[in-house]
Amino acid sequence: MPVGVSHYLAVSAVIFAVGVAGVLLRRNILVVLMSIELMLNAANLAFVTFSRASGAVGGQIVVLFVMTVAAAEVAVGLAIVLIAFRARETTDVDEMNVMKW
Amino acid sequence: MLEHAWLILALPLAGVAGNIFLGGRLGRRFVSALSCGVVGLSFVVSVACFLELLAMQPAQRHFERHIFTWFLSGSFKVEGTLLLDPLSVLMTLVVSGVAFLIHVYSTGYMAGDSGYRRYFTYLNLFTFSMLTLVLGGNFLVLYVGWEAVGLCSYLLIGFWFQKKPAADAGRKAFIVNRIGDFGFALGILLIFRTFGTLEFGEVFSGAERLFPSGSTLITGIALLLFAGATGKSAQIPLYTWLPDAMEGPTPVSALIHAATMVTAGVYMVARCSALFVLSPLALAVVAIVGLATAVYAASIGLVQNDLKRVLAYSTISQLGYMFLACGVGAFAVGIFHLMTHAFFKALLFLVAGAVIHALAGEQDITKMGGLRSKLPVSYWSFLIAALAIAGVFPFAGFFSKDEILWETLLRRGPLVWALGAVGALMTAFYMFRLLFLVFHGTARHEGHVHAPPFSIKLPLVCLAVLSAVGGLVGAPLLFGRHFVKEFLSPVFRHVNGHVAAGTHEAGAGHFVVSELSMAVVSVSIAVLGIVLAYRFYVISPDVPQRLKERFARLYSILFNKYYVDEIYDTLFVRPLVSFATALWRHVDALIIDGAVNGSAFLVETASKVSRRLQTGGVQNYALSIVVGAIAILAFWLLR
Amino acid sequence: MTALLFFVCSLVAIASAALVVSRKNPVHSVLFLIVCLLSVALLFLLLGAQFIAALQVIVYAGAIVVLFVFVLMLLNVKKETVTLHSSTVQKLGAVILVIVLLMEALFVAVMGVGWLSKEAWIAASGISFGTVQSIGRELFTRYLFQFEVASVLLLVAIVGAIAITKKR
Repeated sequence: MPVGVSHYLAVSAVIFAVGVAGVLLRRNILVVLMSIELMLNAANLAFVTFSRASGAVGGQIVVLFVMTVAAAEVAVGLAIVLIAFRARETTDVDEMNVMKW
Repeated sequence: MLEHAWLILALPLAGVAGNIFLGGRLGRRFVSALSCGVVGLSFVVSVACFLELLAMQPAQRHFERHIFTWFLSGSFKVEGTLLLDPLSVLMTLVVSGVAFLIHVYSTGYMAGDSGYRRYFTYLNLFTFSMLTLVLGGNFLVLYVGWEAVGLCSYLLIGFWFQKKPAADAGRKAFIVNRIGDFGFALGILLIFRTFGTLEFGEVFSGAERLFPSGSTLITGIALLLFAGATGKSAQIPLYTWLPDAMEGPTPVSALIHAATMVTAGVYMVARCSALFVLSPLALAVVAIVGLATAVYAASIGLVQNDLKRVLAYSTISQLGYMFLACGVGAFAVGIFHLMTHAFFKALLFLVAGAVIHALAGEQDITKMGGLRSKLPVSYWSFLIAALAIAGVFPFAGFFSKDEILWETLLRRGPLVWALGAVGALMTAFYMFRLLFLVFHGTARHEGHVHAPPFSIKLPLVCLAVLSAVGGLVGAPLLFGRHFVKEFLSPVFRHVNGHVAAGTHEAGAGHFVVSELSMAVVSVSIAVLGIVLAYRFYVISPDVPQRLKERFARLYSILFNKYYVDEIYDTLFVRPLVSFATALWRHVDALIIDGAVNGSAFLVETASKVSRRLQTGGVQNYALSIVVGAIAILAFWLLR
Repeated sequence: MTALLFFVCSLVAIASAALVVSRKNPVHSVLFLIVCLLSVALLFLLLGAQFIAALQVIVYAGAIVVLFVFVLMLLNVKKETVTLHSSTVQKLGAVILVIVLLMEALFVAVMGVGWLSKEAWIAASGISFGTVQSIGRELFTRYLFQFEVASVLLLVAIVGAIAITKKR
């Protein structure tokens, strides 16, 4: 059975869905951040697949930028987690809900 | 100098600005100097303009200074134009001259008042507004000045707004004036609709060209304009605000409510003489209202005991004479009386102010008396002014009032003249009643009499001189020429043809009397009034008391001013107030507030429900992001 | 051979992703994240993107995951007693939405949309753009501006992270 675009995209879709599930369901903010990384990775996989399918290098360049954004996001995100933990002694997303009405 | 006529307006306005922005920091001395200085300079410029106009040929004495285009919308065009012709220049002279003297007087009179700067700011603003009114080259500029003087009048009547009567009087003046102003505004709108322009020259020439004498449209316009004049110039039925306006500082009463602002109506009627002469009906209304007011107000003045109120009724009465003159077509004479009246009425008020000042606020004439020796300058000034207003030869009022009565006799017949003469008799009587009660007899007051400062005496003397000799500029029997009439004749050149035609057979035809003999008659009337007053109040002071008891009912009617205030109160004020209260209670509080509060309640409730969406939980938000993502994807797939 | 490698890598990636999300202990999650990232890197290699695969290992596994581990150790978080979100609505909604999203994404993957037909595939022998050279040329010519912006973004992130965590 030849492996084609569909296979790679399917894998990407599954990993992305798992990431979404993690973001929506898990209470530990660190795991939520990891799930976001999973989603970004799934997107990267899709980009590289498109690049391969179309024969253009642009997709891989975008992956480079996505990684940059991911790195920045993790740095700032983890910094916020740190101070949030310092202030409230918790990593539970459910308890970080003071910014409301 | 005519090119720089705008200075006449700019100077007082600069005074206003200076008082507002610098007056607080630089102190009272600066305020006095600035306020008096700008008005004085304005007077100087007016004199220069007057002289320049005088040097021209009579037919060319008409100068328009275009300053800016105010409105330009399609065919609707209004210019900001100053009009300098004999009428407006004469008015400018009177206004700025009297205003200057009263500014000087005020520096003495208001010296101890905490609102000194505010007072002079208002006074300068008033001078500016009044000059705008008389110099305006079209109806809209006139209207601006008209409303602005009304505002200043309101501000100055209520100057001591801590006192409830003063605040009430200010409101009353404003509201009553508004009624007249409404008619005036309608008149202006009707003029625009009819002629398509508001410029004086175009309107007047258009009226003469397009409309026959007695046209309904012109009558309507003239009557609406006159409605405005009755409000501003305190004529029946809108005069009630003026006596109450005496709550303001006395120099204000002198300047605004005697010498200048209240004559704006006369000025306006004279300015629009081209319209009025086309409508015999409107002229008749003007004459009747003027005559009725003259006699009516004089009769009230006979018995009042408040010094300033007597003068206020006297003002109303004299304004009535001016309208009578206009109504019989003698516009120039009306303006002449306006001028002389400005001198002697301002003087009377200023003396009243000096007396009140000297007696520390006492205004009741029954509590004065015997001030002749203590306040000699005031006494002699008052005497001159009283002789002038009574119409004794050769004081200013004699020439103008005698001429009004003469013109009346000539054009409207002896009955109207007789009524006017009765008014003149009463005028002489109540003025000398004042004089005797205040200055003669025994002192009925207690306490020290303050001597007036120089700044108060100086204007008194100036105005006394003017009251004494100011009438000579219109004394044809002495000089063979009537200077005022000649000077004003270019403005009123269209009048004679119209008025003379209809009225001559009524007057001169049947009663062949010479002007000289009528002058003798009117002086005799004045002297009769003076003698009566002397008899009543000096020789046998118990006569008034007996008369009062004998004619108790008549007395109480006069004393209570014919109950007009009460009648107005029942007929208009109370129904309006209860109607407004009903509107407030039911319409405003229930319906309008209900709608406002209801919508606010609705929004609040909706917000209270929808703010639950803001849970603060990040994952709830993420959920909605996913919903959006799914929706977008679905949209692309199903497209 | 390639197919076999693909299936193995895919299965490992999916399974470890599922484990990242489902493990109670965040330390385990991080470890499974590394596994997942490495297997995705292998998938990149299979797709002919050598440079990206290398970056994946260096940046993700080397830097980002290390950062996670670092913070985990720093916070010394106790094992969670409850892992799932407290709200039933949230849980139910999340499950439904994830399923719908997965269906849609798989539909796109299998059926193809627009230009992306499932037959579109360049022969592996013909590709030359996954090398450092080809990417570098593109990056420093056509995408130069974006590249610079990305570097500024990183700088801002560094400054931001320091500023946020600084003790006052």
